[in-house]
Amino acid sequence: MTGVFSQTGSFFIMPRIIKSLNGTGIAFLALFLFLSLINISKASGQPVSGEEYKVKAGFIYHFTRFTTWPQSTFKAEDSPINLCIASTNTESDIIFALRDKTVKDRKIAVRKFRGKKDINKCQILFIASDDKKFVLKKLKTVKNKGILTIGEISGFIRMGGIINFFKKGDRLRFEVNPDAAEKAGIRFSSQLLMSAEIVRKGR
Amino acid sequence: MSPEKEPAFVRYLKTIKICMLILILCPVFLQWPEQAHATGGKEKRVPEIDFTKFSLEELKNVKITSASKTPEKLSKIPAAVFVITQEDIKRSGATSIPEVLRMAPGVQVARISATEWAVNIRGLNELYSNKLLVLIDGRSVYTNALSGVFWDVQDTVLEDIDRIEIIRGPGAALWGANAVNGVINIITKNASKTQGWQLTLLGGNQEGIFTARYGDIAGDDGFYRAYAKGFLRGRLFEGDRDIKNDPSKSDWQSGRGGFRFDFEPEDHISRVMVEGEAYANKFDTKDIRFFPAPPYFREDESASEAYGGHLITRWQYKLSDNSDAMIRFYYDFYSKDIGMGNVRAHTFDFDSQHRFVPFENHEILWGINARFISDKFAQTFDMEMDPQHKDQYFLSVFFQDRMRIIPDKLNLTIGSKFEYNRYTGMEIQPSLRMIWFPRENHALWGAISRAARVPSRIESDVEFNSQVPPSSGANAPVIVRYLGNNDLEAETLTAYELGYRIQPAENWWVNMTGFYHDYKDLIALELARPPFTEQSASDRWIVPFKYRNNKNGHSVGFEMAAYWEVMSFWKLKGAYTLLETNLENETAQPEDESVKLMVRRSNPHNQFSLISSVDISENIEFDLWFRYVDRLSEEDVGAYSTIDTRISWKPRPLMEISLVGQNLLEEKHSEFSSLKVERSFYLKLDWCF
Repeated sequence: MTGVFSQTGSFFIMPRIIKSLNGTGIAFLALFLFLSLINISKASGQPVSGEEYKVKAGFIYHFTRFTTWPQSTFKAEDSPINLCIASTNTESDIIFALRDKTVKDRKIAVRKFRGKKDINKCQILFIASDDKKFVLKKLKTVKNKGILTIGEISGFIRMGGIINFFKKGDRLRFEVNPDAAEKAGIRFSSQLLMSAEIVRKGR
Repeated sequence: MSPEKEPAFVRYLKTIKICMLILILCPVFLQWPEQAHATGGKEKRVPEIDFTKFSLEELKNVKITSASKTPEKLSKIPAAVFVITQEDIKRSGATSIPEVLRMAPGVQVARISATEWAVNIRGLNELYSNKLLVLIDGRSVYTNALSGVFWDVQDTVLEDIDRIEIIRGPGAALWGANAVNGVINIITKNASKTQGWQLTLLGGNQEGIFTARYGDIAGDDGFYRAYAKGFLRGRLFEGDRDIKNDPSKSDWQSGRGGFRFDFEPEDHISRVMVEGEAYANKFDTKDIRFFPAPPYFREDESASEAYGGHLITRWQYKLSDNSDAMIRFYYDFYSKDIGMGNVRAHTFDFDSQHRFVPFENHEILWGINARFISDKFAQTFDMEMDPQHKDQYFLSVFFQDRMRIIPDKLNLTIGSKFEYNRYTGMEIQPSLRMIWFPRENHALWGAISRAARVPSRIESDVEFNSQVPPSSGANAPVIVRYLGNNDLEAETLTAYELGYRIQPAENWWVNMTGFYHDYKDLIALELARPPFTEQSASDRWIVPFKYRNNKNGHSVGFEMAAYWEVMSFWKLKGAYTLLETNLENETAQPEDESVKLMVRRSNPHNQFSLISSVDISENIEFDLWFRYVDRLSEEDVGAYSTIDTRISWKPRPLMEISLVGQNLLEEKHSEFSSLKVERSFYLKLDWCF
């Protein structure tokens, strides 16, 4: 078997690559190098970063703190707050870490939302999905049942959802629909409303 | 360029060069633990942050990294693994599985004709690479009929692929025979991740593709999806259609439909998956028919057809926190025309695995596999199988122990597969793998393993008469006869691998692997006896070749993959492959030059790929993919460089329009044969609702 190798050596193929390029290729290559250099010089300090759903879990914990449900919702002073998750992705399972955190003497219980039969077992429903049909179906199931709905899809507020996450650059923001909250019998403290990006009237 | 004969010492120099590189790098690796020790031993990386302790305003300032997009975590597997994600597939602009594989280090992909690809890992590349195992959701698409993969019928909705795992080097200890040079594992998404409608429409100057998929919930704990896909590759490579001995095919039509169902009860203890698919595939081809009288040959237009389907069920059960079990069963059927012949095969496969921790620092994985294959070849005037119909079974057991010798520092994996088949009896395929973490984010691994390839049906049982046009001197037509051999042994490989991975920061990593593969008893054609004249209707000059275990060989190579997230919106992915292969005859008899003409195989010595992915804005993406592939010395195909580019725009969430240009640098280039791959464009609409 004739192994034919270039005289230039096996590890140093760059010159050969360049030789095999025509004008367009060289232009592209030059562009690569140029852009890389610009960006190296731009390196900056790292802000705190975290996985999307871990950060969302932090937000949801605070939403729980700043929300008041109708009196009839809880049987006792220390009945748990049930956070239900309906999701079309597995990453959102991180939210289960909120299990056993406490908010004003109430423990947070986290469970998967499986449909109608769970309505009375949920005070919060987080719909972790960007699938519009899936979201609409869940929203319809829990409409006006005293459940705080949280979503992460554009148009969630218009669909009748109460709090919606959205991204601004690589930071998280949330919007609130006070009308829908009112219909569900839920009240928010001003701390929550002040941090919300847009307080949009439901249409 | 004319191929130059290389003196042996030059080849040794190259081997030495690789060894030296490894040696030069080794001391660098060895210093690290000392440094780590000096800084007080184990360093803790980013601690788990409890975001509930943050205020709402503080949370709004946290930079988010979505879990699916974070760069691949430093793999703890002591093997050369590369993963192609759905995002990679989408942004590559590739429209078929073999084209996607071009981005992986160590994988050679070359287009042979409109419907054929040569795909291999770490070896001489050819149409049906017989030492590469390919699995789709655990179903082997490697066909035992001729030891290889029919790439033209391996397809699915590319948008529904979750990832493609490519394991270079022997995977035989786990996957069993034929996983000699590597394993390609194509894994489709869980049905819960494909909910709602997705429509894609793709049209360009070489192909048109349509896919529709619908997913919904099934009951309280289940999800399903159903899909249909069709494509037309009508006018492929029109200009090159009339090349002799290279009947590039046109009017390629393909359609398939299938479903997947996933069921996971709330307790998360068991999971069930059921998957099924049916497909049909057709393209025009030219058959060269032989006649006993001049002009001896006539070209006939005909259609090459293929169809098939499969059904898989898989059940996973969690026995405890560190113990689980899996049982999988599948049935697969295909019928495919090869040349003027046809082969059809039914496969029944049962697979089970059990993982448990018998005592601290040991994790045992073991399993049983049983496979039954029933095939049937159609008789043609030039090909005859004896027997035409054959039932075969394969039985195997494997076990593996992953030992944590020094927890978080040194892991040792030993394992072996014991496989029985009726061709060659028992094949024992052990492997020994070790991985060492000199400090966090650095891993050095090494492996020694043995793998075997079982002879194919063709190699055992064929009689194939290939007609050669009589040269001006000879009066009688010449027939090259290939004869199968029932006494073949399995081909074996002993592989030595050494790899290093480093991820110094969240935003970049580098993987390097060097290997030496030592092959024994490779199967090749050999002149069975001197050519003779056969008297039938007319005289024929017969040149008889027979399959024999007559070759040894070795290959040496180096593979590198690197990832760099330059900015949050700009990512670079590079891959480099160096591969040197050598075959030697076991006997002193020199190889007949004509054998090289019959079996066309070759690999480039150098390959390079660089992908740049830029998110220009929230809804515009721009990707560039540069590739360089060295010349094929055995095939007289020149080196080529090429660029694919993709620009996409999301007019609204869940809708994407993309424009892709492929092979832009030149009007056309050869990759394996005289067929030239042309520059092409397409426009694609991807719409979810």
